[in-house]
Amino acid sequence: MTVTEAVTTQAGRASRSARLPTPRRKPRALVNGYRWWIPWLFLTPTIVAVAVFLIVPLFAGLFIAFTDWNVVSGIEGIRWVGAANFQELIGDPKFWSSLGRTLFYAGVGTPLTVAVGVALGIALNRPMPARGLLRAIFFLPSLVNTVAAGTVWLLLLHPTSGLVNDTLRAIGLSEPPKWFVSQEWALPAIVLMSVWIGAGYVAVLVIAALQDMPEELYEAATLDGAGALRKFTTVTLPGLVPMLTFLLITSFIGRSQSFGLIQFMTSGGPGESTTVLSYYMYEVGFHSYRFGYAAAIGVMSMLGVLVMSVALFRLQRGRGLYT
Amino acid sequence: MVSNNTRISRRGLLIGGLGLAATTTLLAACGPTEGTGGKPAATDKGTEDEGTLVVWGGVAPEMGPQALIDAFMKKYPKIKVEYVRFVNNAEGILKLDTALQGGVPIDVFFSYGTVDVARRSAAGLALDLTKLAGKDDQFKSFVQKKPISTLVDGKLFSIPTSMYPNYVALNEDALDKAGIDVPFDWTIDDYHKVAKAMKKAGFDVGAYNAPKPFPATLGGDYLYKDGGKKSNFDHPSYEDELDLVLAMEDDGSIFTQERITAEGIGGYAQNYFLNGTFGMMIDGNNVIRYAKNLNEYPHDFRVTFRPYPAPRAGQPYFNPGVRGDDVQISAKTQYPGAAWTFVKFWMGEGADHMTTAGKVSPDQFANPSEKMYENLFGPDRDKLFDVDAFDKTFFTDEPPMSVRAITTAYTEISTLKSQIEGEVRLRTKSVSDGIAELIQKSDEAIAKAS
Repeated sequence: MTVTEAVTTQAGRASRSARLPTPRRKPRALVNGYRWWIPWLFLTPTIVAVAVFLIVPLFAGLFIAFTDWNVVSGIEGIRWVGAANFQELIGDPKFWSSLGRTLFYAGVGTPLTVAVGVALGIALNRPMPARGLLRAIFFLPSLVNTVAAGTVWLLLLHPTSGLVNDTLRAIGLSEPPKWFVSQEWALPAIVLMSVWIGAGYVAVLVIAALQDMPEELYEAATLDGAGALRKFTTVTLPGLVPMLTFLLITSFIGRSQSFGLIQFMTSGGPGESTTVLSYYMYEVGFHSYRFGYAAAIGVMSMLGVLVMSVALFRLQRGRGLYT
Repeated sequence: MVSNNTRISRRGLLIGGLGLAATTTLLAACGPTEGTGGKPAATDKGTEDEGTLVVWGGVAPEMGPQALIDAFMKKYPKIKVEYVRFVNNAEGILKLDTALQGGVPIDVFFSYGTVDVARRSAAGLALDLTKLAGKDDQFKSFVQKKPISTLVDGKLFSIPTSMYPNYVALNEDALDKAGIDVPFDWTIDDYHKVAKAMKKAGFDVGAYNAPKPFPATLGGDYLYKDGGKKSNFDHPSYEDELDLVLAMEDDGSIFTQERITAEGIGGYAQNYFLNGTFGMMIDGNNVIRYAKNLNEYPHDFRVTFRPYPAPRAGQPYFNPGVRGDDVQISAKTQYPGAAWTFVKFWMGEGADHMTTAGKVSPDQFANPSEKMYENLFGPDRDKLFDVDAFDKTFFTDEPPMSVRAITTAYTEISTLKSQIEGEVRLRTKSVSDGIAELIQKSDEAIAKAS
């Protein structure tokens, strides 16, 4: 029985292959020996998932940005307002101040995290005792739950009894920053915390990229008489450009959308000092039930991130070792 | 290799961005259109004694709702009830709203606060209970001429299930030890003096919070004037309130805002009261729920109670607390008769089960039962609580509780108020600047919402 089936199948394949070169069939009727729809069949689950969870929400969000939808009014209560939400955004000082804080948070936090991560990665790539343990320790913060990490940082940066301010006072700084309690220092404190969380992850990826770097390049540079700094600027850094581009872009996008850390640490305060765009969007949507306006903030935020991502891509072009 | 990937991704991004921008422009080009509001009609597939109900509430089932539902189903065996708990925070509230709007079968739900009641009622998500309440002795008081709870457009869409007057809970042992006498007809100045005395007696700070002359002077709609067309922050009692808070922070009577923020004390004030960090706090029955739980909040002192202090001696004032935890019947319920039976049971004979969670219904307020005391105070009632003082503090109609009617931009104004008060307490903004900014921004929010 099995033999017969196998023979039949093989015979079937043979006859199908034999029909391939016949001039009546269109050349694209088969793809790699399969009917054209077979690959689409296998792609369908992914396409459906992407459409349902990415494309539809994206365009739904875009549509909502042009309405004054408030959820409770239902689908039938959606009122088309044209560009009114975007016009309001232009005149909304809180939107601009939130945008400024987002740019500070992402614009300062991202390069700082990558810089610290690169330094750590290069340091931890050298042979040293307990290197594996050290790598694990530096990677650990990126695995820790935000609430747990936040609680520790609240204690560390407590204005009167925190370890950081105790240390600063011990070295002679009589009035150290009040960190999360101060309007001037709350956002920098969150940037600091985000660097602590993200640098270990950057370091691990940098180590992977460094280990992938051809040793011959360093040997050639040594033969040319290059010193350590020269090797770093002409070999290591250009070799890291693809990875750094990836890290800068993903980190920038992540920070532009950062919400959980701010929600837990400061809830946008003191005052509005840590109200970034994503938190403002949450306030407008979840507290004020202005989902149209919140969606408009989301669209503007997305366009901003898109522009910044393209700019970063353009900036790195031609600067990499392999480009 | 890398440059190829880069080129493709960049092009993709650019095309995507252009597409998005083009779609945005197209959508923007279309003008506004009017939508239609819809209000589903209720039909009854059951009777007053028969049906299937899904109830959404914010109290954990083990804190009373499940026992109440079990008792209800025992009395009405033909009505099946399922309780779904939602967490009463921004996400949970939105979850209930989307469920109500999206057609998830919900028959009875709870709204916590005037803003939620007004929003859901105005959107047609709740049944109008005015006529039903008017015909029922148990609920007549909610549709009398002078409202005692939230009405929307003059109609009753919700019934408050819980009396939540604010009062002062005090560490009785500490008061006795320090020889501090606290009268029942006291004022805000007296409260300040007691807080200072508590601090002197050895507490870290005297009290957790300062009384609020602003709502106590004006009642539920204290944030508004001109019928909700303007904010009311230029009322002298608001400046008094901010001055009082700063003075109490300065002399150690209450926690500073700096400490509250740095230690994240906001939601955990009861921990500090029950571990002896301060000697008194303004709260409602929540404090009893924590104080009777010796496993999680071990302490060895008795809690006594005093009414909310008056802004000025001998003058009438309001208790800033409200009748709350409003129950509503979904406009889409298929069993309105059974739902009404359930609401009546929750408010009446089932209410004792909810006192475990600190809830006292208007029925219980009028006729407190022994079972209510048992559930409210737990097994160590006399060891942990001064029940006589509670009776004198809680079961009184004076001062009257606040009733909120205006909700224009309420959430936005509350957020602004909280932010600016935080800045004033951190001394980064003066009282006068804070008030001026609050008036300007609140009036803008009201104008926008109107």
